[in-house]
This record gives sequence, C-alpha cells and structure tokens, in this order.
Amino acid sequence: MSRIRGVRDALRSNRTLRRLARNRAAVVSAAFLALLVVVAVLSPVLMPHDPGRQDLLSRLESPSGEHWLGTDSLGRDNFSRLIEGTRVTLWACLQAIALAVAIGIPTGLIAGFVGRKVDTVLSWVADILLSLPPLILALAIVGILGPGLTNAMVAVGVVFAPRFFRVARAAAYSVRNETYVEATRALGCSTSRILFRHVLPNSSGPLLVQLTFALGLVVTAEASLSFLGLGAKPPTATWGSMVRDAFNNVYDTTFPLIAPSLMIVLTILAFSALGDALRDALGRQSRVGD
Amino acid sequence: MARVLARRVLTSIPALLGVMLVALLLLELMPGDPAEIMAGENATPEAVQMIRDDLRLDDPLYERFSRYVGGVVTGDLGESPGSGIPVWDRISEALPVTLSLGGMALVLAVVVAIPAGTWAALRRDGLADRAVAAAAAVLQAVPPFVIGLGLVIFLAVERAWLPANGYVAFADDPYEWFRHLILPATALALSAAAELARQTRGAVVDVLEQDYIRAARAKGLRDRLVIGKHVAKNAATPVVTVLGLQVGRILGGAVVVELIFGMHGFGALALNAVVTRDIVLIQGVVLVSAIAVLIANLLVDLVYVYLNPRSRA
Amino acid sequence: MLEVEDLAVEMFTQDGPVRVVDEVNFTLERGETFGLVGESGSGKTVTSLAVLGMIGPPTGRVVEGSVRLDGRDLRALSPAELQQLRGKEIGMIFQEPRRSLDPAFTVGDQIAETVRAHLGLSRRDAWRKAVEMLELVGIDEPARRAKAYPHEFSGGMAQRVMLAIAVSCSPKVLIADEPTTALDVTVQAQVLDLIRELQDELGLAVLFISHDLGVIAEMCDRVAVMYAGQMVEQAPALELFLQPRHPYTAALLEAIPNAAAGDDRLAAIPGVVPPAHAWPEGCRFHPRCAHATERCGAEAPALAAAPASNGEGGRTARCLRVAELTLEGVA
Repeated sequence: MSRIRGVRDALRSNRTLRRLARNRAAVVSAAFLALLVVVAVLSPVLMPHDPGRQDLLSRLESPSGEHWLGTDSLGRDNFSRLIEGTRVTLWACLQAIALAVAIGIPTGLIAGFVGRKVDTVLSWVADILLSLPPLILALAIVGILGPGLTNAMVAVGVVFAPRFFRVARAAAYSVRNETYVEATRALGCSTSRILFRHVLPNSSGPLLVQLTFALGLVVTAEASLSFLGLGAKPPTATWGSMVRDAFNNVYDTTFPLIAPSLMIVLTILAFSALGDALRDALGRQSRVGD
Repeated sequence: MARVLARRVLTSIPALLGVMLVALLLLELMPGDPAEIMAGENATPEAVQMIRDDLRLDDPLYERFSRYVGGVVTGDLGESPGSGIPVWDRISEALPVTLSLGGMALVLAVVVAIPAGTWAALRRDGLADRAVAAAAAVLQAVPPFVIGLGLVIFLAVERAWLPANGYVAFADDPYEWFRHLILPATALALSAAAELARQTRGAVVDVLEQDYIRAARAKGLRDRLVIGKHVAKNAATPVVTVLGLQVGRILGGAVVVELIFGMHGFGALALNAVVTRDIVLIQGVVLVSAIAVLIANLLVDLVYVYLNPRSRA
Repeated sequence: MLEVEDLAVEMFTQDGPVRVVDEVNFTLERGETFGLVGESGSGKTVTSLAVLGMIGPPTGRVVEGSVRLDGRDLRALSPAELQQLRGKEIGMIFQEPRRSLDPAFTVGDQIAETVRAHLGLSRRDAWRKAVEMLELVGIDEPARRAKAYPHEFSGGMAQRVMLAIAVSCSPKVLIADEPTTALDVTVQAQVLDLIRELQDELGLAVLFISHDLGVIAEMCDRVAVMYAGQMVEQAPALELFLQPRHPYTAALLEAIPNAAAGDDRLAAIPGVVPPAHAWPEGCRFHPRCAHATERCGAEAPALAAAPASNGEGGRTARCLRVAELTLEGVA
C-alpha cells in the first residue's frame, strides 16, 4: 500500500515543520524569501526615488549618498529599480507558476485517475512539451504571442506545466486503486470531488516539493527571458532586465550588474535549499512521482 | 544493438510528428493574423497578402501539415517570409557554432564532474564530499548567463586575457577557435557539471554498497581496478542518462550565452527569429531542437544497452 | 595453517565504535573443514572478513589479536600485500551468489580477471583457465557459458561460478560464508558436494560459516559456536552434537525441528540476541540460559577446557558451570 501523506497531515502532526525548522539552510532560505515578499509588498514605501525617473545628466554613476546603488544608463536610481524589480519579478514568477499549476495539476490528476485514452493523449502532449529544451519552447511561445512580460510568463507557465502534470498524474495513479477511493466512490462521490477532496490533499507532499524547486527555475526563466529582451519591456524593471541594461553598458561600468545578479542567484539558492529541506522533511512520502 | 536502435527510432516518430504538428499549430495559435504580424507593422496590404500566399495560409490544416512533413523529409523547412532565405540554410550555417560550443561544454562538464563526483563518493561524508556537494548546490543555482557575465567581465573586459566575443571556425584557426569558445563553453559547462557531479556521487555511492564490489575486493583486485572497471561500468548508467538530459539544457543555455559572447549560432538564430516574429524560422528552430534532443536520447539508450546486459534479454 | 588468536573487532556506528567480536580463537588445518555456527548478529561474518583483512576504516577496525597464515602475520601486511593474498591464498564465497557477481560483465571475464591479477596470465590464457574452472565446478558447456552474464545463471549455478573464482588461483584456504542459505534445498546438496570435492582435490582448508546446524553437521570436522561476538564452545563436530558443553549449543540443538521425535511444539530460545552495544554483564548468554545462576550474571566466563568424552583434549566451552552440567545433544 502506498503511504502518501499530505502536507495537511504532516503539518498537523508538526513533525515536518519541526524537521524543517532543524534544517538551518531551510530556515535561512525561508527568512530570505519572506523578506523578499515584504520588500515586494512594501515597495512603494521603500523606494527612495521614482524608479522610472530618468536623469540623463547622471548616467551610470557609482554608488553615492543620493543613489545607494548608483544609476543606470538612463540615470534612473538603481536601488529603487531593484526594489521595484523585486516586486515585479516575484509577482511575474507567481503568475507563471500559478498558470503551470492550473494547467498541470488538474490535467495530471485526470490523466492519472481516469487513465486509458485520456491519459494517452494527455501524456503524449506532455511528452512533446518535455521533449523540447525549455528555453527554446519558451522562445517559441513568446514568438507567437509577442514579446512582453505577461506573454513571457505565459510561456514559462506552459513550459513548466508538464512537470506538475507528471507529478499529479503519478500521485493520482498510485492512489487510484486505494480502498478509500473505492469507498468514497461507493458513497456516490463524483470523480472530480474525489480528485480534489481526497487525491489532491494526499499527494500534496511531492507537489509542494516540485513547486518549490519549480519556483527557483521560474526565476531563472524570467531572468533569462528578460535578459534576452523578450520579457519586461522598458521602463519596467525586473532583475533580468536590469542585468541586461547593465550588460549593454558593461564597457563603461561593471558595477550595476552585481546587485540584480546577486538577487537572482540568492533567490534561486533559497528555493533550492527550501526544496531540498522539504523533500527530506516529508521523508519517503515525497518520493512519489519523482 | 541495431534492433534496439531501430525500435527506438520507430517509437520516436509519433513524438516527432507531434512536434511538427505543434510547430505548425504555432501559426494557428497566434493571436491575430499571422501574416500581418510577420509582415511587420508598416507593411502594405499587398505585402501581407504575399506572405499569406507564400505560406498558403488559406489552405486547410491537414494539407499544410502533410506538405510540411513532406518538406521536412526532403530537407526543406520553408523560407523566411520577406527575405525568402531558406530556413534550413540559416540553421545549417548556425549549427556548427553551437555544436562546437555545446560539445566543448559537455566535454568540460564531464571532465570536471565525473572525477569530482567519484572522489566525493569515495570519501563519503568527509570534507571532500561535503565540499563538492556545496559547490554543486551553489553552481546549480547560478544560471549560465550569470556565470557567462561574470566570466566575460573578469577575464575579457577588465583584463583582456580572452576575447569577449566572436567565433572562429576550427578549420580557420584551431587556436583562436579554442580561445573564443573557452569562456562561453565554461559558462554552459558549470551548471551541467554541478548536476553531473551530484548524480555521479550518488551513483558511485550506490554501487560501492553492492555485494559484487565487496566480492571483487575479497578476491584481491586492486582498488584501481575495482573502481575503474566495476564501479565505473555500473555507475555509468544514471550518469549517462543525466548527460543526455543536459543536452537540452545546454541548447537552451546557448541562446543566452551566444548573446553575451556575440556568437552567431543556433541560439542567436532562435532569438532573432522571435524578435523578428519570423514564424517559419521559429518552426524550423523548434523542429531542429526536438531532433537534437531525440538524437541525444537515442544515443543514451544505445549506451544504456551496452552498459546493462540485463536489458538485452 | 590458519591461526586466529584473540581477535577482537570494532565497528564504527553512528553512536560511536562498538565491539562486535571478542576473544575469538581458532585454528584451521590443511584439509579440514572448520565450522562457525551462530545466529545472525553473532559476529561470524565479521570474523571472516577480519581474517581477510577487509575490516578497516570507515566501517571498523581490528582492535587486537592476530591472524596467521602459515606463520605469516596477516595484520602486519601492507594493503598491497593483503590484496595479493586475497583471492590467491584465501578465497571467499558469499551468501547471495547472484548479487556477488558484477551484472555488467560475463562470468568468464570475472574469473579471468582474478587469474590475471594474481597469476599474471595473458588474456587468452586467462580466458582458457576461466573455461577450465567452469568445467571443474560442473557447469555444462563451459566455453559457451563463460560468455554468459550473471543474470542468466540460477542461484546454484552462480554459486558454482563463485567457487570457480574462489579456487581459480589454487588457494590454501576457502572461506564459505553461508554459501547455501539462499539456495533451494536440492541445490544446496549439490553445492555442498562440490565444496567437498574441491577440498579433496585441492587440499583446501575450509572455514564454513552457517547458522544451519544440519549443514554444519554434514560438512564440518570441528565446530565453534559463536554467541554475542564470542566463541562459546569449540569441539569436534560429532562430540558437539552428541554432547554439547555449553547451554547455548544445547538450546540450538533442541531448537532444531524434529518431526520424528513426535514433539508438537517448537522449542525456541526465550529472549533475543542482545545487540552489540548492549551485551549483558557477566556471561552474555545468562539472561536466556536455563541453567544460569547468580554467579553467571556477575562473572564473565573465559573459554576454558571442557571435558571431552574420549578423554582427549580439543574441547573448550565458555561456561562457569561446564564441569557440573550434563547437557543433552541430538540422539
């Protein structure tokens, strides 16, 4: 009998939380991510300057009392842009992940639970999507939809959906023949009710792990796409577009590259560490669908 | 062996057809009129109609699909609207650059990661093991373009030790070919190396715990032989699998790295296609990428059969 | 020929080093089969691995004692010398033969590599020798089977292959660690016969480890019983079975299911084998012993001479009450 435990159960027993808390890297990562969220939410208050205000007389300045991180190629304050970038980047990544989850999980659950033709078709689609290098697929989607942050995030969402599809499908498949599922069916529960009220909560462990790792990858994806000029369009600031702007002027000054690059790397590291810790904390149960 | 190869190729055909279908559907999924978008903002209605005729956008889907598949089989991937340059010509010109880049990146990754992973596994839980694990974790979190930027700045911009951009064909000047490739290849190699090192460490640790390794030691084989022969062949399977997966990642990473280092490779072409909204070129890029990944997986399968006699049954 | 004196081995666990083998003494003469009996966890396998010099960091270490082969102190050998000794002078076969063969290489290759490593044969000669060895251990069509992979062999056949590897360099000693435990009963007999044949042909000394008393009775000339890391009794096989001198041995003999005797209950030994970090004070068996006295819990008995039924020496037992007790053996 497969022993999948849901996050709700685990948290209820607090064992997972305690195990997580013991992992120092996880705690630091969680704190860092929480700090980012706070910054994003409070961004209008925290910015010393208007991130969009150009001052062509003070281009590419070094850090000073006025501009803590210097200015960019159009004289805008880097520190304020970094703060806004935090908000925009986090929000964009959340949207992408939400899309991936919204597409991937329901289809995965259905495919795994219902099986047969539905499963064959859906799995075939997922395999096709997974057979392409992620960035190339994202590029193709942006190519159809046109450049822009929203479109880029749609692309990222579509690219990541198959992962969640696979995990949800595996979880649903392994639970399909469980007695409690038969029991709820016998009681007259409809398929979708079974899926969402019973299957999903019990497979939330591996899904949560997958989610955490995926968030880190989505940050990379957004950064890459914005760096390529396909994501955020000026004057919107995301970390990726700030790196691109800095790169365009790399022969003049290399300083502006550091802050946004650092944010990207730290955020990815944080999600990685948290994902690892979650996987360990949820124990064997998180191995389903891996 | 040939039978396995043939079987795998056959099973990949549906997936390949699926990719072609998706590539074709890209046109359908475009919000708005594909011909208008491809013609550009200031195009005249005649130019738009010309594109529509060239691409026969008014024909039914299945006709277009079969024509497309037929074209692919004969090597004709269509022409970019407007310029009329055959897509395959542009791709085949760009491929050698990316193949060199990707090839060198893979070689670098293997040369660094496999010894590191093996070393970490042999000194399990020791300082070496933890150091390698930490390094791998950090490297995996740093996207290739950040590494590329770092390299280009420190080694090419601030100190002109290595060229900052460009590409020189191997046939023209091997030395310069290497000098121009080493930085971008390293940028791509490092995150692949991180994943590879982790997998190698895990695989070697697993194999070392097996009974047959203990038996090999008990019959007095030298450590070097035990590791170089028995551990190597048995640990190779998961490592080779990961290596195959890295091909796709490197292809994607090449897009960004080629931008940073000013190389006109497949990645740069892909980017160009998106920027100019050249759907035909995008279709070609998608198709070629899928084939590349397919070939990589096929090679992995072949090696797998060689490594695992049990699978030949 | 093989002398083990006062061997003690520590294993490194998560809670620190734990002594798992203590005060083990025995000698093995050419042409004889010496049996090491005990339940799982008694230290039999660790002892055999220690003899081969395969216990070292990070798993454990030999704390004290000596292992001598024909007078040579094996503990004083360098790792390189030990590697030369293993497989060449001492061969070993294990409990799970199919898992002890590398699935990625042919069996012929695995015999040939041993021979090449120790006897310096060329590839062609080594392969020929491999085929020879397969024939010696009774595998049909040896030339064809040498090119087969381990997964193509049944358990019994795989154990024959292991024997082929173990004796390929004509060793002096063969260590057989539970060689038939994982095999079907019918196949067991064949493998045991093969071991005896090889022993006769090559003049091997065999260290036979098992928890199966029936097999021990069949194969061994002398037997030592191990419990909780120590030797608790040593005697010629026949005497051990007819008249054991240690309560644990007697209990083991009693626990053998005997349909013919008409018992309707299985006699199990009450209690469980104590783990290595929690050995009882005094005699390690006393909590489970039917004949224990208070003294047994306080004083740890040494391995001392025990009365032998034929008046000669050669028997030892680790029991404070050895002189008083008369224990029942198998009839």
